[in-house]
Amino acid sequence: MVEVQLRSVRNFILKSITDTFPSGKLTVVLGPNGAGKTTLLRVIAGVERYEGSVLFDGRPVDDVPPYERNVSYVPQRSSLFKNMSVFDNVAYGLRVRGCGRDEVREKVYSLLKAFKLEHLAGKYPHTLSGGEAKRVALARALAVEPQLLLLDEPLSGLDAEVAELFKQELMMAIRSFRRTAVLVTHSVRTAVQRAAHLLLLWGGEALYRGPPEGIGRAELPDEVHFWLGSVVRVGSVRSGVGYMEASIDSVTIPLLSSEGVEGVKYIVIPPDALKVCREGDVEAKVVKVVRSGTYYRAVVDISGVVKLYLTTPAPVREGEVTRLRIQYGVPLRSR
Amino acid sequence: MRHVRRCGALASIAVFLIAWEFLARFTPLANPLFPPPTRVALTFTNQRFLLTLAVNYGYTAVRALAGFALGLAAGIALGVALSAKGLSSFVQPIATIFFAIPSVAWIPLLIVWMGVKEMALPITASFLCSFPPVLYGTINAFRTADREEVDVALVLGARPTQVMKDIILPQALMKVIPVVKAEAVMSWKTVFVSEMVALSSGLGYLAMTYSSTLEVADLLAVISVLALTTLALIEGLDRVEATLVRRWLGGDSWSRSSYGP
Repeated sequence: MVEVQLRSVRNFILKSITDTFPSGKLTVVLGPNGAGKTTLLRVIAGVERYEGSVLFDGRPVDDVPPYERNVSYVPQRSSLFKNMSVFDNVAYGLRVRGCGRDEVREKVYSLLKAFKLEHLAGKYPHTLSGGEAKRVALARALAVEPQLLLLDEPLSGLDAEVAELFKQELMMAIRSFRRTAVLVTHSVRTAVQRAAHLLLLWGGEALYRGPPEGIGRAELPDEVHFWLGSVVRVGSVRSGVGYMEASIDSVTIPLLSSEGVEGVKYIVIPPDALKVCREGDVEAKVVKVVRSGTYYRAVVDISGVVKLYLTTPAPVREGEVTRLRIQYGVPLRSR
Repeated sequence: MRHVRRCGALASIAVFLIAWEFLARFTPLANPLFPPPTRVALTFTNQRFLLTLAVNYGYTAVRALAGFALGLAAGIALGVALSAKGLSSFVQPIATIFFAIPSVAWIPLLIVWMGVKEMALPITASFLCSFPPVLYGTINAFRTADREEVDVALVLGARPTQVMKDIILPQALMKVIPVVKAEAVMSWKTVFVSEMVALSSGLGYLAMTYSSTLEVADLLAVISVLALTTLALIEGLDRVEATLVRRWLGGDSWSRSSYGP
């Protein structure tokens, strides 16, 4: 279990934050750019100075240098060691911890095999694709069998197809890792689908911490909802061969989920899943509009029951009735 | 491709020599003070000239290499030590100022301070030529080391000394090599100038002697020896750089030398 009781981090946005990341599970730190997510990871890793306290299994590690914390950190850019081959990158942590030659060889090759990187063992980082570099960085982090795995935006910089494939590998690795992992992302979908524990950071402060489905009960400012999306309580959920959907009042919303949807009470509808269009099958009343550059941020109301937050380039005015298409929702569930 | 490049380089030199020969023989420019290259080449068949050239070349080479080696060793050692102790910011402004001063500007001052010492003066001039840029380059290389790679190495369990050895030093070296290449050539030039203005031995001295006796073919022979030396130096250092780049940034010798396949 990791406990963070931060008061401040010098020169960084991060302010007072207190949270406990459950042992052996995946915590997702969610927030927009500049919310302080990376700084929080660096504080836990011990490579950023801070005021406050970080505890691993109840033991303060504030005076423990990073090389004795037994954590692994995968930065956003992967940051493979440029002067080492793929093999040596993955082996580095084991070697500096004094592992023997045979043990290093065995562990590194088993990881390279698991991540389908064997053929790249002798290659250097600048010859790797983005996806390969991410896999090497993950293998390097797992090689030392840390008590805590820290992942900073592991899917950033990858095109959609590669990101989807790497996400599956990453989630498999985290599941088989069976220790505490902290993943930083600004992807709401990744966060609510994968997290056992969610920490929502906004402007350096924690706006929500707890299980993903609990965010449906949290009081969040409109500004946050315009980024996060609308959190909606659903009436019922159904699934069948090739489909999953939720019903809210008389509206049916397709759900994105790789798992069953039984027991789901809340869903998130991201702002980009809502389209204002004449052919929309949902009638909604615009209750609030905020102009944001060339876009309009609007709060709309469906049947006086559901409040949705959307961003649209189409001009909308307060009080008018418009038509919407709700393309998908993402179920919130406990793990 | 490499063969084509080499042929191109040889062709350009050949064109230059032919043009020079033509201008020096068949145009109004032709006169005893502008000898053609064939006349310059003939000077190398003169045993006495060759002996004089070899002795003086030896002086210049020893002075340039000694000063450069001292500057290189001191610059890298001090740069690494200061960076490791976090003191580089104190020294960097001074290193920057010294870096900006042309190395030949030190020669008049050194003559005043040291007198005309046949070895100490040019070696010190060569040292002052290479030391500040190498120190500046080393400090800069350390300052621009990839912070995130350093952090990852620390988190993986490497102690600061290991991070220095495994991550920072190899990367800093890659950034220092271009500085070293430039200063190796510059140290020859500095020694040549110091020999011209103050000393009684070395290629610079020889050049001044032939200039005063209007032996232009011999003077051009000395200059061409200096030019060929510089060319060989650049070529040699390019090969060293290529080997290191291959080793650290994409070759196979690194992985073979360690646990790799």
